[in-house]
Order: sequence, then structure tokens, then C-alpha cells
Amino acid sequence: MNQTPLEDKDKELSGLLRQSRPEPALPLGFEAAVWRRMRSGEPSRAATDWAHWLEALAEWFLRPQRAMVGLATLAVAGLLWGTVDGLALAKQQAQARYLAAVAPDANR
Amino acid sequence: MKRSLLLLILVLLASVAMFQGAHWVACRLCAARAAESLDDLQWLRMEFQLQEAELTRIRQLHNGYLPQCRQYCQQIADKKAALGKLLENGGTADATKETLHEIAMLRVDCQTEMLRHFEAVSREMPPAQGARYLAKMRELTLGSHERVEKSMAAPAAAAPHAHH
Repeated sequence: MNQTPLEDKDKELSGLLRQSRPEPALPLGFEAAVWRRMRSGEPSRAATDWAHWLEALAEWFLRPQRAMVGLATLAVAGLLWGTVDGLALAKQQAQARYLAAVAPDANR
Repeated sequence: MKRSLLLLILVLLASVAMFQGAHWVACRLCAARAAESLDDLQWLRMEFQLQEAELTRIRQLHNGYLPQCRQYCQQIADKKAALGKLLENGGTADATKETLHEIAMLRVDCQTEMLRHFEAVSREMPPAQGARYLAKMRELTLGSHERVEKSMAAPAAAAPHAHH
């Protein structure tokens, strides 16, 4: 198939455009530097292991049933511990009250 | 990985918040309920597991002792006010010493009365609890003085030549 004059002109134009934008020469060791950077960007084996472990842990925890049981356990533990601490605090307050009645600071 | 880490951090924060929240609520509720009681003898009931009859006898002793205690406190407060005025007006060393002596004597009488009261209260308790009460009260009242004296004496003991 014969090329039309218009297609010939296009090729000519493309050639001219290529010449007008010369490609700069790459610096020395450019390719090696690119490969080095690509290699350093790859995740290490330890990092992938850690990521897997983290994901497995997140998956284990974030099951609704487990999350609910965990939070409920923490709430109960907090309430129990709080009650023990609250009773100790109440005892301290009661002791301070008795002491203030029978032995005010001036007497000591 | 970042998403998992973020989720785990959120789970951890939620857990800490849940535990702390529950602890805080329970602690406040218990302390608030205890604070509602206006009974001075609530601590004796709680700490020494007293029967109602024992507590009634101790309450009589307590109510009899309080006016005496208040009277001593008032006398000490008056003497301390007099001492303050004396020092402000540049009173003589003799007058200051005498007032300090009077305050000290009032404190001796007051503490003697207080110890007698503790002994009387301890006799109304079962023997083991009574002994524990007496030891505790001596520690809480006279012991506070001892602690101050020990803390003041400690540097001198550490450096015995300091006074030479």
C-alpha cells in the first residue's frame, strides 16, 4: 500500500521533534544505582514475617465474639479491682474520720 | 501491615479505656458509699469486726470522751494564739518559755487522757482485736511524733561528730 503524502510529512515531523528534544546522557553508574535502590526497597524476610504475624494477631483479636469476650473480661476485672481499691479507700477515709474525732492534730 | 498495626493499637487503647473506666467507676462508687456514713465509729466496725453490743459500749465511751477532747483542744488553741501574740509583740524569752511550757503540759494531759480512752475502748473489744486496736492507735497518734523525731535525729546519727 502506497504511503500518502500526509503520512510522509508526519514521519518527517516526528523526526524533527525528536531532534529538537535531545535525550540527556545518563550519569555514570545510573543503572547500577537504580538496581541498588530497587533491591533495598524490597521488604526483608524479617519484615514480612512481622507483617504476617501482626495481621494474624489483628485477625484473631477482631473476631466480634472474641472482642466482646475480651472487653467483657476487662470490664469485670476493672470492676473487681476497682471495688477492692474502693474498699481500701473507704477504709482509709473512715480511719481518718475516727482519728480526727479522737485525736485531732493539735493533740499529737 | 499498617492497617493491622493501627487496628491492634486501637484494640489496645479500647481495652485500656475499658479497664480503667470500669476501675474508676467501681472505686468511686465504693468510696462514695462509704463517705455517706457520718458515723465516726464506722472504721472500728469495719476494721475490728465488732458486734453491735460492743459497738454500743464503745459509742458510750466515745461520746463521753469527745467533750473532754474538745475542751483540751480549745485550751491548746487558746494558748497557741496567746503564744502567737506574744511573739508578734516581742514578748520576753521567759514569757515565751512559760507559754510553751503551758502548751506542752496541756498536750501531756490531753495525750494521757487520749491513751486512757484508747485503753478503755480496747477493753470493750475481744482481746486480740483490742490489742491490735491499741497498737494501731498508739502508732497512729504517738507514732507520728516518733517518725518526725526519728527523721530529725537521722542526720545527727549519720554524722555523730556534727555536734561536737
